[in-house]
Order: sequence, then C-alpha cells, then structure tokens
Amino acid sequence: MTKHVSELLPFYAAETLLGSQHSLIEIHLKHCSECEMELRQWRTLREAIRLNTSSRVSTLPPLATWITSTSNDSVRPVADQVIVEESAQTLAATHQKEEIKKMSQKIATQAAPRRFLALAAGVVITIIIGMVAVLLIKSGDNSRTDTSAPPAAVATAAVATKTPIANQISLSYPGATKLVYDETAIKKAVGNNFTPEQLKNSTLSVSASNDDYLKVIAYYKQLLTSLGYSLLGSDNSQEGQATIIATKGDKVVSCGVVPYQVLQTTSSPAPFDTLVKQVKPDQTLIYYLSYVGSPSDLEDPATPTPSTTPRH
Amino acid sequence: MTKQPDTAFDNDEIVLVKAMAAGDHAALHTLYLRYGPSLLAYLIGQLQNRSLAEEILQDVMMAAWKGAVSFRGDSKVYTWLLVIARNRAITARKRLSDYKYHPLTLDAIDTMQGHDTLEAGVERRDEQQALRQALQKLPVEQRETLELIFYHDLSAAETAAVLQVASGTVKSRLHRAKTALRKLLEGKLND
Repeated sequence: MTKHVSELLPFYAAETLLGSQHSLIEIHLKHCSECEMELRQWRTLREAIRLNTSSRVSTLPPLATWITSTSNDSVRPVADQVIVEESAQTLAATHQKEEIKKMSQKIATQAAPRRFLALAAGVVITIIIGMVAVLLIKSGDNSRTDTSAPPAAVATAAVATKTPIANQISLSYPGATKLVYDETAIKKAVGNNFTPEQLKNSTLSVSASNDDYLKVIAYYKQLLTSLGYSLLGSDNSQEGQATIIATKGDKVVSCGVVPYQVLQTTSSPAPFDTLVKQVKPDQTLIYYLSYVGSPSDLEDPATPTPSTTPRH
Repeated sequence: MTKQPDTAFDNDEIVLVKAMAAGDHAALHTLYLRYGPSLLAYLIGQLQNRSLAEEILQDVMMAAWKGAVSFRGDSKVYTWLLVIARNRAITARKRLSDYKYHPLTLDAIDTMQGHDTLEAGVERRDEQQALRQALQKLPVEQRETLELIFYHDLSAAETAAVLQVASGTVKSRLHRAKTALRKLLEGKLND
C-alpha cells in the first residue's frame, strides 16, 4: 500500500473522491487485500460517525425572527408573518387546536386509510379528493357559521378576515418547475359548488422536480414543522408516493408527491391530462393544497356528510 | 437527519445566497431548512450543549444573512456556513471558562428509533455502540475532522479550509484518530 493510496482511502470510503483519484483507488483495490481491509475499517468508522452525529438532531428549532429584523428591508420575513399572525390568536385558538388534534388523531386512524386508498389510485384522484374535501369544508363551515357557535365556528369566522397561508408563505420546492395548467378549470372540474370566495381562498399548486419523492416529502415535513405546523398522523409514504397533512390552527396544508411511474399507471381525464403530460420520466409531481378549515372535515367524498349536520 | 448538500443544488444554492443578499427572507429560510440540521449536529458536537448549539445556530444564520452580499462563490455554500459555525463555536467555547470535554448529555442525544433495525444483529450493534463510545473519547479536533469528512462529506481540501490547516494535517489527523480509536477499542487506553 502506498502512502498516497492510504491517504485517499478514507475519502474513497466517504465517497467524496472524484475523477482520477477515484479511479486510482478502484483499480488498486482489485489487487490489494490490505487496502481492502483498510477500506472496510474506514467504512465501519464512517457508519458509526454518521449514526453518532445524526442522532444528535431530530428536530430543527424555528429560525429566529430577529435575524432578518436587523436589516433595512421593509418586508417582514415570510415565516414571521405566519408566526406573528398566529400569536395574536393563540389564546383563542388553544382550545380549538386541542379539538383539532383530537379529531385529527381520529381521522388518522379512521378516515385516513380510506382517503389514502384513494390516493394510491394516482395524483389525479388525489387532487379531486382534495378539492372535494375543500368543498366539504367550505360548505360545512358555512353551515356552522349560520348555527349557534360550536368551537369550529370560531375558526370559520376568521376566514373572512384572514389571508390563507398559501398567500403568505412560499411552499415552492427548490428547483421545481411549476407546471402550466388552468387552475380555475381544475377547480371547477372538481368543485362545482365553490363560491368565488372559496375559489379564491383555497390554493392549489402543482410542480415537477427531479428529486426523489421521499426527499421532497421530507423537505415539506421540515418546512411545515419549522413554520409551526403540526404534522398529523396521516403521513403516508407507500405505493411509491407520499402525502402529508399539516395543520396550524385552522390552516391546513395537504401535500402530495407522486413519481412519474405512478402517474403512468392511471388514466387522466381532462383537464388533468395536460398537467400530467408535463411530468417527465424521472421526475416527481408535487402538489399542495392549502385551505382554512379542519382536517377532520376530510372524509370520503363518496359519502359526504350533509352540510347541515355537525360532524363532530 | 438532513444529508449533506449534493451537487444538484450547487447552482441553486448560489442563487439562494444571491437572493438573500437582495433581501429575500424566504431564501434564508430555505437555506436554513436545507443545512440547519447538519449545522446543528456539528455545533452540538463541538459545544456538547444542545441549547447553546441552537443559540449559536441562529447566530450563524444571522451572519450568513448579513454576509450574503460578500459571498463570492469561491466555495460551496455549505462549506462557507461550516466555517462560520466553527468560528462561532470556538468563540462560544472560549466564553465558557469552565469548558472542558465531557460526554454528550442525555438531552443532546435524541432517540434513535429505527437505527437498530438497520443493523445486522446484537453483536454488530454492540460493536457500533463500542465504537461510538470510543468516538466520544477522542480529542475534539480529531472527532471534528472525522465528522467533517464522514458526516458532512467534505473533501480533504474543504476540510482543510474549514479547519484552517494544511491538507496534510487533515490526512495525518485522520490516521491519528483511527489509531487512537483502535487503541481505545482494544482497551489499551483507560480513558
């Protein structure tokens, strides 16, 4: 074993060697058992270090608000907007959050499997379900507003004065290409009963990325958590695709990531076909739907609860 | 947690820093989400104190926010952030007059659910456990070097740049660390 090779071995184990140095080690290893053993040791060490280091961190604290407040910029940090807005309503919303949490757990064990069974059929179906869910939420909320005042009605009352989350924070995935589609057409296709206000207050975005779907969904989990959202127990990473639902007060974000291969397994009716056609092989389709309501309102669209009946 | 940045992000991350320099808060936030976990892991390793590390991480992000204008793209963005983190950690350690090495406190080690299932068996798990304990006994600079190379995936030159030493020093430190670990595992060193 030459000194040069010996010095390069740890970087070969770390998979950071490039070009000729990488080739040199590759060739050398074929006929040097001593170096092969040395490499195994470095790899064991690498594994231990990765476990040791990564175990230190499982959560990331929110980015401090004062970091950007010292600048001359007049624009408030996007994350802070949500936090500040939320803090004003924290007390009033505490009880409601607990309610939502309880309902979410129930949904995660009951309604969610049905919902995700539908998700497995492909992103088109998913979007339809999502939009129908919004429809259910909106119609349900309207009915509640007209009734005496159950806890959820407090959240509904805030809808008119509060801008939905999607208008305040950027949920775009880094490097993703936004797909071209007629949002109104899609919304109309799945939400015939949407009022103009409901159309305006729910946001749908669809893009495509070259990243693996698990990487994308991990990014969104981190992003939403850092923004103060609670991820429900409805995390679903199966059937080669992934979805999450996150809540913060009465704001809900439903996000899904579907690889090209999965998209190809279902037929896509208009206007979704134009959207799906834009996803290239090796790409994943990313969508998110944000709205104001409660995730517990998400039910199987095949059996919608009458809007006049309180669901909880 | 979050893996080290890959090359696919190289152009994207420079765009992010430029956006930060232009006052784009969302870009800072994206950078934080991308590299915050790895930087935090590094800082906890250096400071042996989770809450202090989280505090320093915020300082690092503020330095990045303010320094984005002067970032010239001579290095990877992540390497730049690591240099800032390291300098902040050194300053923080100097402030702690009673600072001395001690093992990670329990609150600094999050649960590792799932990791055991990745390992082949009890024996292997015990070996890994012994190795991890030995790692904690290494001198700080040796453990730091190992982590920069094997967790943060820095090249020899990048590691040297972060540590502000020559590349040769990095390589010799690596091999010294390995020798020390072997002795620790063989029980030839009592502490």
